[in-house]
Amino acid sequence: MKPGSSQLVAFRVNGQEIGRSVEARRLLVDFLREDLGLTGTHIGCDTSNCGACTVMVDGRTVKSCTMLTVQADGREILTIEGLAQNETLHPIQKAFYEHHGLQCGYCTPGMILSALQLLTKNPAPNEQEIRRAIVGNLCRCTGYQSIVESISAAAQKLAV
Amino acid sequence: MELLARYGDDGRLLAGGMSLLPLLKLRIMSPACLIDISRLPELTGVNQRQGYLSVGAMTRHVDIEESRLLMNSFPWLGEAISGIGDVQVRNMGTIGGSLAHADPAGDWPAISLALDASIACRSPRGERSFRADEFFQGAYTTLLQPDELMTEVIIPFPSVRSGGAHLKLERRAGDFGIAIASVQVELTADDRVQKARIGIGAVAHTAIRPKSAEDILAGEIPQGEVLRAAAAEVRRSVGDFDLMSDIKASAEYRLAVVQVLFERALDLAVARARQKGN
Repeated sequence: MKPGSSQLVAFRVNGQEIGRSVEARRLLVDFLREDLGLTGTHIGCDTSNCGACTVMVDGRTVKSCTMLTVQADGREILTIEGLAQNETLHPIQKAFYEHHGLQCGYCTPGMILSALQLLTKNPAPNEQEIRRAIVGNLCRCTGYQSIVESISAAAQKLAV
Repeated sequence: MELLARYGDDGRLLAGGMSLLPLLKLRIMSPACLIDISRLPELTGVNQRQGYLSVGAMTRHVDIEESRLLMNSFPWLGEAISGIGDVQVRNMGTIGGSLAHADPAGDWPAISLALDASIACRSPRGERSFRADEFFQGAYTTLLQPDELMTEVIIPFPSVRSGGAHLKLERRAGDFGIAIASVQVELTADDRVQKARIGIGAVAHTAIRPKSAEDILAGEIPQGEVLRAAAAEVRRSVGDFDLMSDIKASAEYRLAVVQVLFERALDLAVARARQKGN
């Protein structure tokens, strides 16, 4: 792929088939936000440190500021907008709401997707495991305590 | 392969992109063409072969962490890999990408030395392989030629009584290390060192195998004075290289730390090897 050239990509975003021509150098996060209008995925640092741009590609969290759109060709993408079903919050979202797992909310979409990644692999994590799972997500408000509590509560919610 | 040959130095292989994409974004690199190799299934996965394990160059860190084959032979690899970047980085980043990028502070170069690994590559001119201890030439520099594609990492099976450890000092979780000590030992039935392999990272401008320290351990019962002598030799021999010194840590500090870190890693590796039956 050459930087300015365009390529056809086809993938699913939150269950919906998307087919577009994109510039080879377009970052996935820019494509999601600007071309698809899915602004729930945030750009924090744009240097793959903060994790605000975390989305899932084929069931694995990635930082969408450090992935080219063309790399996602043929894959299944899940953004924060794809979590709630018919206006009903996902249990992790509900837990963040109930346990005040956010202050300014900027890191929240990424935090929630990292929580989803953790809970899919480890349905009953301890505090240490939760903290390790969000190493790649920074909360500038430093509201980690409530975030950890929210993820722990979400695990219990999902277990029943 | 054809694309790589055509573009030569202007082409870049894109593996997981965890190092290459930030470099592109900073305009440190601007190749004319990126070649995405993530869709080549033959470059992915861990397979058992006669006497060794083959890890495809495009195998992602997370898949290595979850590979029972690798974890059975090298349980310590789990903790080593869990210290690479963060979950998102391990979901994308690959063993081959890390080795080819050869970041002096990367984990895989040091790990590959401790594992006594070899690195196989292919080009239109044919196939060849390198031992890890000859592969790294300097910071971000390896023996790979512009038209070569890394295909697999070859890891010899350890003897039954083996153990390893990988310790890293970092300023904060997921950061690049200030010092990395990776070691694997194999013991004889009477607890003597049959083989020891050491990889030191983040101290010099390239990952180093301090062979003279391995020689101190060979044939000895690894405890007390022997461990201390090997650690002192690691510091001495690493000190001969061009050392990293930056805002995170001075060269002197890195050297002092790596001696301690290595001694602890060795102690841990030996204890783990001893736990294994005869």
